[in-house]
Amino acid sequence: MRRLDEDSEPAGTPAGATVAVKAERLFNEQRLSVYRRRDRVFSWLMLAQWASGILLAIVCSPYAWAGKTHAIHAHVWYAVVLGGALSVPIIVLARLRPAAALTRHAIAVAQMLWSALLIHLTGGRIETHFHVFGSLAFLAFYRDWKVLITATVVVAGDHLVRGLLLPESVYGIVNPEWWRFLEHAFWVVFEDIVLVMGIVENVREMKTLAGRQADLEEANATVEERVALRTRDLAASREQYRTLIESTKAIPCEMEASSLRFAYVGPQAPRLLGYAAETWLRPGFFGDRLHADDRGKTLEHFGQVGELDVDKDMEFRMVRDDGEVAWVRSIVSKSEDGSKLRGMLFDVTERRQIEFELHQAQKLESVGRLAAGIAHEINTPIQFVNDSIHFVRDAVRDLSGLIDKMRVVRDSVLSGAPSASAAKEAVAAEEDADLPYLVENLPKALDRSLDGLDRVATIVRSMKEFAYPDQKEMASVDLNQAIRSTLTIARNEYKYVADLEADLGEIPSVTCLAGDVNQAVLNIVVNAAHAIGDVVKGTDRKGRITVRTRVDGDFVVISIQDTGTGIPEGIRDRIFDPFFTTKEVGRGTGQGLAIARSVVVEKHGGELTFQSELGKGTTFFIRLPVQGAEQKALEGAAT
Amino acid sequence: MSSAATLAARSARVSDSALAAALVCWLAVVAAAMVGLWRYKTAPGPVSPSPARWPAESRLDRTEGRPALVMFVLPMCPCTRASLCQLNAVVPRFEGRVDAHVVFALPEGVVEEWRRGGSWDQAASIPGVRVHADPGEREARLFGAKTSGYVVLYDRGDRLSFSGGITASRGHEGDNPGADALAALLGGERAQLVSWPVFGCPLENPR
Repeated sequence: MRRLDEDSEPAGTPAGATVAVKAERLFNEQRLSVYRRRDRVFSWLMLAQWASGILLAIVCSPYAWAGKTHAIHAHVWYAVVLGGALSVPIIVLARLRPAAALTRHAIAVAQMLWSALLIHLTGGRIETHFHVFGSLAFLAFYRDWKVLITATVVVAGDHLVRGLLLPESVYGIVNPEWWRFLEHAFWVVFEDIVLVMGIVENVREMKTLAGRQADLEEANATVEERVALRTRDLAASREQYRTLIESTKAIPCEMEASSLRFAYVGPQAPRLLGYAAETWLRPGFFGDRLHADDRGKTLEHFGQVGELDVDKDMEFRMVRDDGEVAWVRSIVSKSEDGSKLRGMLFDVTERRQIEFELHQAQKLESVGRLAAGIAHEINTPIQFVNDSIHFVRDAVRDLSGLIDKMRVVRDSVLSGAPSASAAKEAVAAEEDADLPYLVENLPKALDRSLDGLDRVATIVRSMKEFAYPDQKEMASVDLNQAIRSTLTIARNEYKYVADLEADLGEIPSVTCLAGDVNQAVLNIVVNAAHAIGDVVKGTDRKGRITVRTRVDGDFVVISIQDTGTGIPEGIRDRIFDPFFTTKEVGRGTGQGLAIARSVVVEKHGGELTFQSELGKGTTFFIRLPVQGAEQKALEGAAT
Repeated sequence: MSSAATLAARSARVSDSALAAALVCWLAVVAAAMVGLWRYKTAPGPVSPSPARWPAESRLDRTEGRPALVMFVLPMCPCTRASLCQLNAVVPRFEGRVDAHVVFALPEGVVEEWRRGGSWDQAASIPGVRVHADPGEREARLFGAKTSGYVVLYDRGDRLSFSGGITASRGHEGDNPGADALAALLGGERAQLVSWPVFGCPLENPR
């Protein structure tokens, strides 16, 4: 607490000086306010006293009589004129100069003159002197002791002058004691002392309050300044944050958890689907714009966000306003009260396209990598087909020469003049042609050719089946046949290091993307061959790759077992990560298992797991739903 | 200081000076009015000599060997109340030793209600005082009363011992030489005064 009359702040302290100045200002404002209020009150009091004087004169002495004639009593006129003279100028002054020192001193004079007038009119009644004391108390409300001095001087002067000239008008008696003036003055001074003490105390309290208020205002100003500063910082931070969020490609969004209606989307939203931000906020927009194939699982996913074991992350397709498909990745979480879903939407269409192209490239890479082996596989049958064809061609030429010789013999016989020489030439030609040999080996040569061509056709068909270039939608596929094709084109990868055992059981047709499944199987088989190659390198031994297919409930399980190195414990969590590889540069890109997982898990809703024992080998298990991913999702939702 | 500020300061000084002058004038007017009021209140009413002995034509009763006191008042005069108050302060002290009368002067032609004004009851309530109506102001003329509040005191020997008012000024209650002299005379003392100005309304119509 700080009082104006106490220098509690160190001299020269800017804050202390500021507060002191403010306290002084507040005190002066408060004092002026008091003066104004008192001026206003005394204005009304003057008016009331004037009206009362007139009323009193009219009631008590309305007329002066002379016999039975009468006239307005002089008291009435004096009440009007003298009362007006006392009151009106003061009222005007209080209006013109409120809070001025001159005004309140004039009021003090007028109020004391009113007392004098009333005492005068009541013939010095002692009771009327209470008006003096009441007026002094009233004037004390100004909280300005100097006003009391003025009032006291006036009342003392009045008593002195009238006490000398007309004592009965002030004391009520004609011959008062000489000290009567002193007696009246004593009581007035006594009241003055009491009132001045009260005023001094009151003013001190006002100063104390002003000091407190100044302290409070200073503290308040400091707090407000800090709040304003913090608010500015907060606003700037929010603006920075908002700008940051809204300037990225990630779209912040908020949606009602119950209806999945967007409550807010970032300004980037229109770029994603082409729809205005207001359109996003319409009921049903989200569900309507989901791709038909993804709608069920996406709505199910969003409905379960916040529950245990439900990923916040999901990718799905939405349909743009131009009909094109946009891939969207969402990362959302539920608000604490469960009423909102908040998160980000990412346009991953380009990434998906790149992934698709990468996938295709990886396929091509596989084909390219396998091309040499496949060429070799094709070259072998082509080689012996070529040899056989050459053999057949030579044989046909020999046979053709023999037939010509035999025709000469036939013509000589038919002409009736058989030619021995012709017959001898025919026999020689027959011997040259080695006809028995040709008869025996020509069919064999043709069979070898057919077999070679068949082998080539098989390889070509396998390549075609492996790629399934035209298949974009899931279709019912003979998975065993697809696996056979894959193993055919992969043969050159493993045949030098491993023997392959295909134990393909009775399985139903599986609804899947055969090209993608082939790719996954190929990647795992190639990995198996590489793993076995690391084991048998530098030896004559061969490992073994066993490919099995089985039915397991609604799933078909493809297992690919190798006798390779096995997967070290430390990297088992990372083998499905994109671009993770332990192979040397040029032997692998780290995409094989990542793509296999993407194909099996994301595209088909299946599972890709493995069991591995270091030094003994690894078995990968591909579990694919027989009815396809969509059907599995629908059945899952139904249950 | 700019010229505008200089002008404003000068204007304020002039204004203050004018205001102070106006206040002085105001005080002078108020003082003059106070003096005028004082002069009005202390202006005595008309008097005329009263008979030196109790008029025989008077219809007022008096007891042989007792002083007789008569106050003449105009019922409607505002000053009457103060005069009766003063009478009330003196007479009861001498109840039974003086014949005290208050005569209400009723000018010719006044209505009966004059008699029943508030002063009548006030007078009647004073112990030892008899109240009389004086239609046509006959008694007032007999005793030479011209102003309301006029008092005459005749001693045991029917001699006029006091005449005049017993208030200090118009409508003014309180001690004053007239009342003091009347009390002294009733108490059988010698009074320094035998008359005092009377302050009240004239009993007669203006001529």
